[in-house]
Amino acid sequence: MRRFQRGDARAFPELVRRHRGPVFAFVLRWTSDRARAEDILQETWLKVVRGAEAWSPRARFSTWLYTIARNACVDGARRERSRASEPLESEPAADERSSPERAAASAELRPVLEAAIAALPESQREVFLLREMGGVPFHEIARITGAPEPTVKSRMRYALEALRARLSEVGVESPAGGRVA
Amino acid sequence: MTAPGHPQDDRLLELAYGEVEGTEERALRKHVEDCPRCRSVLDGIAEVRSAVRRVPPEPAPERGLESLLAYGDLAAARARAQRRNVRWLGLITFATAALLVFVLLPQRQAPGAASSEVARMQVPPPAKAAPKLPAAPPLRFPTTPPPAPGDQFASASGAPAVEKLSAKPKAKDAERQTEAKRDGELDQLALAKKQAGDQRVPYEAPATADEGRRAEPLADAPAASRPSDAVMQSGPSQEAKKELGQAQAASSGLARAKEPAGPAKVAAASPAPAATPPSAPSAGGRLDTGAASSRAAGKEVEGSGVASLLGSSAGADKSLGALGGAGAGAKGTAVARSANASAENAAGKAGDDRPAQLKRLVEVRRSAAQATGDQRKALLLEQCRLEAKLELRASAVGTCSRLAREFPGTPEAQQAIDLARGFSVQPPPPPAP
Repeated sequence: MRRFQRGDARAFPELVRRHRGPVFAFVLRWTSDRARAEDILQETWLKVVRGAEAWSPRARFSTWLYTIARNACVDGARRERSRASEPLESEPAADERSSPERAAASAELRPVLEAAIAALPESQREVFLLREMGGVPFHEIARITGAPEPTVKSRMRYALEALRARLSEVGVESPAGGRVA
Repeated sequence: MTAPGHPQDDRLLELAYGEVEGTEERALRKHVEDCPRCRSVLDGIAEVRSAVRRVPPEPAPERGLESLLAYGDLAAARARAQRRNVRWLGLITFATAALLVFVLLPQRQAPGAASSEVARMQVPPPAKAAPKLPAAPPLRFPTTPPPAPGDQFASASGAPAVEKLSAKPKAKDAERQTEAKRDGELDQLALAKKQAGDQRVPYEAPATADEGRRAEPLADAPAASRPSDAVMQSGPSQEAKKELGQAQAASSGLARAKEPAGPAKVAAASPAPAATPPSAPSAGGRLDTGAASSRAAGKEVEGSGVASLLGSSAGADKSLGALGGAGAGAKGTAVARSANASAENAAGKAGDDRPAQLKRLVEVRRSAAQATGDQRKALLLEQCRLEAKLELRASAVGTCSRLAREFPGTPEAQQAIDLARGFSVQPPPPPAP
């Protein structure tokens, strides 16, 4: 990001290559709407470019990036709140197309997981997505969301418990091979 | 809830996400191994994370990527341009500052440059530039002129600067110029000082524009760096010392004041009476006379109450002061001519018989500059009288003192001393018989 700030033209494609996918996953799971997720993704990156001068090395770039993405999601959710959101399309991802076994497993799990995430309260969902998809540490999530760190951790625990319960309900196997209790 | 002895669930959460490190991580892991409850909590977190990982993230869409990268390129180019601009701006700012320093610093008159400034002022101005003087803007002398900045002798004594002439003579230390040079240049310096202190009017005494440019900053220059000080620092000639020693001895009957030697010239040249010390060395008499001259001019104007007369009178005094120096020093006729023109100009504005007296004074000065012996003695006496009559104190005292020094012990010298006394001014003492 510093290189980009200094005008290095090669820095920005590198940033995009590294972070665009995870951010999209984060946004997609937040919105549960591919079209909206794409719009928000583009909006997020445009904000990154426009705000590059304002970025300070004091904050991690990823934290700053996910803050922008999260705010875009919140704003988008407000705009779309009244509208009925379309469910995620079941279009298979590239990885699923390339690996039949994995595709079969994820094809079974993806809608369950995404539905479970979408069913989370927004405060829990944003914490879960920021930590799980964005890799943002809890104390930085606290800064992003403006909530105290213990509150963030509580929300995270509630989100995890809800997801685990939902996965157990649909019979998703645990990594150990057994069903989730 | 956390049972006693169990770590908080938040710590387990941090452990699951790798936010606990070092000894605490090892301690927690050890506890989890032995604690079914904590292991269950940790396993539950791991199950959810595993399920999420098993669903590969959706690849980001290609749509908009190209335009995004193009936008990034544009922003990078803009950032580069900005950095270049900032660099150039910094460079330009630095260059401007450096230029300003180089341009302004010499005008601020570094102490080392002061003597060269005096040297320039000693050079007679070119004849072609002499007619400029009458065109100089009329000077305005405020009735209560402020003290000159940097006047190291500023005080509230209220004693007129002219009274500094009654100071204890420190002539040996102060008389550093030859007689001929001194009157002229010191009159000019006094005028410059007067202008600086009184009105902040650019000094126009130098005939050339270049000299004028150099002279103007004198007003703001520190006192120590002014030409008058530089004059003081220049080495006195043995002849001058001898003459002044004789003058001291001869003027034993005259009142003397106690006061420090040194930069009193500058102090005496201060236009504000209240800003001058009660005494000044007689060595500063030349500049003192300049101050006296300016004051006399101011007084004259106060009496008349006519602003234009003020300007022309001051101009006449200034040019006549220059003329005295030029004539005595035989430094050329250009200054004399310009002074004559200025004096005539002043005379034309003054009215009554003053113009005639000024004209006569110009003639006398011109003649005295070329005359020798008794003729010069007589002319100097007449000049002294005329200047006294015209209340050109600076010039009068200067001329009288010159007469007393050049022709010591003569009746004319005594008359000159008496004339100077008439101004309440202590003239330089005549040499001992």
